[in-house]
Amino acid sequence: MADRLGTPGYLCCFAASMAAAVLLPGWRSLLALALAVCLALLFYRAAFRALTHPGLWVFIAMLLVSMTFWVGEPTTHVGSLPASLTGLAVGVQMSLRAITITLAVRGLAARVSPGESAGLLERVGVKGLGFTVGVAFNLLPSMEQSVRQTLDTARLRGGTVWRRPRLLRLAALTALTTAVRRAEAVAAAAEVRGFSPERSRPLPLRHGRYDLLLGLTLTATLATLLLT
Amino acid sequence: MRFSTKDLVTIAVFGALWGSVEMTLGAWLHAANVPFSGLVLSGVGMSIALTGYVLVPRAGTVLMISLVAALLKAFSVGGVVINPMFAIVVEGLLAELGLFAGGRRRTVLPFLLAGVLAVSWTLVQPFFTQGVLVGDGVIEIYAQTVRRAAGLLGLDAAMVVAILVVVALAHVAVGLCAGGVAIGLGRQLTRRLRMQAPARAPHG
Repeated sequence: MADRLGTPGYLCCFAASMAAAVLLPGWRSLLALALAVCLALLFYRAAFRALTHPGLWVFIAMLLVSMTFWVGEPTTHVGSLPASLTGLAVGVQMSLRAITITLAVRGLAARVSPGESAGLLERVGVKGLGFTVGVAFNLLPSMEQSVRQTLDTARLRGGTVWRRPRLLRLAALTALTTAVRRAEAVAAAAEVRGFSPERSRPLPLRHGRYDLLLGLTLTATLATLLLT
Repeated sequence: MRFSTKDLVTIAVFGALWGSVEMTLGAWLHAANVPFSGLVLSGVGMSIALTGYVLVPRAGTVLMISLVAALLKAFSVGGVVINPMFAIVVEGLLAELGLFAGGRRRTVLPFLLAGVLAVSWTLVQPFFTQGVLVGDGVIEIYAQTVRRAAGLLGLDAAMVVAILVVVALAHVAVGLCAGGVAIGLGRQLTRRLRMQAPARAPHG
């Protein structure tokens, strides 16, 4: 099922889950969570891995404890401590919203690759981002080599870079100069091959068979949830 | 945002640098649970991005560098990378705002302003993301928690405010350093590049 969805489909899932989490108040946040769980089960099960992260549960536990014991108006006692059932209820609703948003964000991150994200950003006006990310990715090994060579040269000349700030600055400057020189060569090579940022096409996006159908279904579901 | 091919590859260099710092130092600091690691990373990242702005002084350069760094951060090994990616992009946006407010001149002021604005985001980010996650009730939770903690530790409310002010000032100081380092390094780099002969076009 997940393979039949493209980037627009995943964006629809994300937008619908976020809208439901933010717009459905009180216990209706359960409906938002149900929607997010259904979408995750159908299209991006990897999002459930976010629920195994201890940080999320520590955050939720702290939320529930603080809402029960010191934010809400006390209505009962747990041992000798005054506690608020209303505060606990609000804490549970907040936690439901947090889990819904976590599933939506992790689902989108799991299914839309950095390349597709660059393609999306190019379509909203960030021209040349795909090319820039590609060049950056390809420059990483040569930059690492350049930094290593600079540090080795400094060491051979008798300096320990980390102990002398001036030497560290000079090393950074040398590594940067080498990297920028290399970038100039890359730019020249790209232009020789006819590359121009104005004429470049954005990175292609995946389109799925069910994108439109899912988009319409989610819009109708969200409208029903909000209006009833 | 219109950039030439040379601008784009220069942006790629600085984006790759910031991205590799995030992928290596960032992963290490996160794994070691070092306090204020966001502040350190943000300071280093802003120094790099603003140095890039000295070489490509156009609107959108820092934002573009931050987008490249954020997309490279997505390739980071292990850990949750959505929060840092979001932080990197917002820092880029805030730095652009600082440069715009400073008049985009190649003087020290816009760089310092951009550094301070961008680095200050690390202080705001936890409240922002938790606010998005659970709603505006999170502010009340923090206020009550600070009040309770102050009571338990026997601290005066003014003392709590003083601690928060010190933390905020530390962020401002790191932001100023980032801006200062960037303009110094950027000017030296420009001089060095001018002194050297232009690169030859590669053959074949």
